[in-house]
Amino acid sequence: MTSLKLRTDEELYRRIRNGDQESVAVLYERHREPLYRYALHMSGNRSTAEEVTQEVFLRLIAPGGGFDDQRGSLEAYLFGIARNLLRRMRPAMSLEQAPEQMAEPDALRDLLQDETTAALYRAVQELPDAYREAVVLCDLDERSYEEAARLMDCPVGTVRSRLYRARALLGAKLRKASGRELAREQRDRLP
Amino acid sequence: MTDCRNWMRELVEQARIGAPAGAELAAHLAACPNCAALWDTERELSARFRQIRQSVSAGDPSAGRKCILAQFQSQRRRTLWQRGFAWTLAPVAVLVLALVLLAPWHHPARRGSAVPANDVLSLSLPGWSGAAEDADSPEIGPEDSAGFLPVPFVPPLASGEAVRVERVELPQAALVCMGFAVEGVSQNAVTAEVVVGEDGLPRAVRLPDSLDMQDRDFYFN
Repeated sequence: MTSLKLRTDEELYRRIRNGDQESVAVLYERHREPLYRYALHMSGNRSTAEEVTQEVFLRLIAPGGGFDDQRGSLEAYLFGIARNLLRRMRPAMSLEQAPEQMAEPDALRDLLQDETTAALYRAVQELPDAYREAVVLCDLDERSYEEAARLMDCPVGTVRSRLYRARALLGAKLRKASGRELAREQRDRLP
Repeated sequence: MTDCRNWMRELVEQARIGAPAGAELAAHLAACPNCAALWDTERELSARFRQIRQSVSAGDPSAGRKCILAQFQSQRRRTLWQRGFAWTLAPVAVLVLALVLLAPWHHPARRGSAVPANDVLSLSLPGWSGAAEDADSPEIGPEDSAGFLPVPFVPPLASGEAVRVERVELPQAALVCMGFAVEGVSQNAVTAEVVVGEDGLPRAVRLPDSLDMQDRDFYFN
């Protein structure tokens, strides 16, 4: 198991294709959390994030899995599956969820004490997919531009410009939310 | 304005990593209230993102891992079973095909034959083991083969060659043509059974039982 942890994703994938169960466990340990965070921040929903994470691995181990190491890294392949699943699930989620549920993603449960942070998180959820993905990967998952570009399958410059644009939009909302909170605090202080 | 754009990239990058502004950037921020406001916003944004990052946990992986591994095992078993089944099925299919192709009803010598060739006639004719091809021909068993006389001067039957037995009216002259020595040839015809090979040539003749030995002697001296 220890030696397997030193192996690359692609080597582990080849072992999985030959029926090695331990390689499945190692890949799962390696990629579960980043995939879960990505799915959580992209969807704003814990159960969706869990479902997507499981489904990504189920597709990975399915017979005749479509990964081709000539076309990219295994990690990018896994994120690609997650992205497609989320895109497919998003319209269904929008139809099923009531507007008030949409306004407060359940991932915010721990953040609701801080109204400004909650407002910022909601603003992230409202960003267009491409901008949100840049924020999720670069700011919420602390990945470099190069890594994000690989996972998003686009040039580094595109990632950077999307992130700057997204941060400008979020900054405007943050100022608004901070202003409201400040005004409320001042109101509360009044006798 | 152009100056502010030049600072934008550094400003965002420094705020993202939570680093303090360098000396040059700090000097610009002191002189530009717009960039100073942006700098504050970017820093707050980064601080709030840190807060979000810290509040998110992926939970316990054991249940998910167990489910994935169980699924993998089940798929693996299924794949192995299918592979094993395919490897077993292939030789069985070949065997069945071979049996069908080599079945007796595919053998040309047996097609349409009511009686196995070697059982029909076991005459004393050299190399003769034939079958009654014609369904209308009298069926002859080994016990019926007695009394056939080989026709001289015709090529012998090939091994396994199909034959048929015809009951015909033979003029005595025909017996002479077949090479039998006949004394006192008359114009009378006699009923005889003739064994005919695949090439249509007679191979043996049997005269009817009603003829007594004297008559036979008359025909064949």
